[in-house]
Amino acid sequence: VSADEAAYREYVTHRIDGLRRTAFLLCGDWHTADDLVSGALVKLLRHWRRVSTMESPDAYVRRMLLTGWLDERRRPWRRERATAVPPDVEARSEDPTDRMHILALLAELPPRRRAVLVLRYFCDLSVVETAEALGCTEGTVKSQTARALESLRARLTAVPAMED
Amino acid sequence: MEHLSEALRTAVADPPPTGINLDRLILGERRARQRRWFAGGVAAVAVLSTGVVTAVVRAPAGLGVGGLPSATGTKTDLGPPADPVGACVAVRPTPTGSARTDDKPGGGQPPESGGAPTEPRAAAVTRLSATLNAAVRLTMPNVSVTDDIHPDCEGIQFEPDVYPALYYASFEARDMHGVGIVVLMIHHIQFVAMDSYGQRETRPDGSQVGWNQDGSGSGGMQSTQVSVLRPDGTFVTALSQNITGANYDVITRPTAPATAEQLIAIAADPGLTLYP
Repeated sequence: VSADEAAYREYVTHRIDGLRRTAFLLCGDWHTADDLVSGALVKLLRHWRRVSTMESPDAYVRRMLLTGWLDERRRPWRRERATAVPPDVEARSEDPTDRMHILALLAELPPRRRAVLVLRYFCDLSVVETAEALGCTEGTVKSQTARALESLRARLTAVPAMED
Repeated sequence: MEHLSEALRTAVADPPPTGINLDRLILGERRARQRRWFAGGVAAVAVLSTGVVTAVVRAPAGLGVGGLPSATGTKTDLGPPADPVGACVAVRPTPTGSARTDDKPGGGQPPESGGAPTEPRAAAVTRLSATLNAAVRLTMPNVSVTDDIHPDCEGIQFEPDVYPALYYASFEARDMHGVGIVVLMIHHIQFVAMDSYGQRETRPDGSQVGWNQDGSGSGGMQSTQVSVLRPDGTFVTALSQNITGANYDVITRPTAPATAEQLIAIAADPGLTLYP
């Protein structure tokens, strides 16, 4: 095992749990989350020599994860389709602390707004770091955050008003 | 906001065991990397294996066919190795790149004097990469390219092989029909039979050109393969397929991203020589 591979293994071992959780909050499914994390880890392995010298390899991996998920959302079989009969959906719990409740609320948000919330309130990234991860401006992050929280507030009174 | 953060953390508090196997992931990537070079390797080896029987190789002592080390010889030191994988070189097109109309030997040692190219590999990588980028821009104007070996570099960059005077490049070409892969290999050889190519021609400058277009691959794989052997001994092989470097099992577009004409134009660019 080369030194590079050993370092890669060590890095992944320490980060994989957090990456899976982030991916799950993005996609809402553990199998898809594992697929997304696998894709990001393969890309990381391919460029490990360069990424490992970066100031923040985490930012690189996070971006790979987000890009993979946003790309996945654009695939034709992921797009919404009109059906004659409304599909069965799980009844939403009214308990705001219920995990299914928060996941259902997240699932109703557009992908990038969901990503903004996950990055800011789960990964604890700043506006600048979130903008970097999503490849957009800080203004976009702020507006997406405001709209996402507004959407949540409309469905969940337990979410407090956004602090400016 | 604390409430939202807390709710998000609660939602992922007890994840199921992961299905990610790190050993399998590393092994898979290692194999994928091998497959990426397999496509280009097959193209060159198929032609070379035909040529071995009849080859009249005038390689220097210690070098065998195509500059590969012979069984008994020692390698010739061609200067310091180029930058390692991952380092980017300047890929600005050179004024003499595609615009050159002759193959006059310049700074490199011409094969007639009995040797392999003497240009330092780092310099060769920079020069060949600049020429290739200019040729691709000229020949495939409506295609965006991503270097498959150095995805974070600007443009396409050649990679020097462990063997002297052997360079390869691989890039993904994307247009309105999708994405596909193009692989190029450059090395030096004095003679090779072009019999394995369905179509062949000898150009006025003495270059031998051979090409195949094969649409009989499994699952709809389309492959276009071109080789150009220059009088100076530079041998350029180019391969284009409707797959990507990351996955050789998935067809990504109906046809190969580069036609035979485009590949010939690139491979026959006078700037893609090992004897500038």
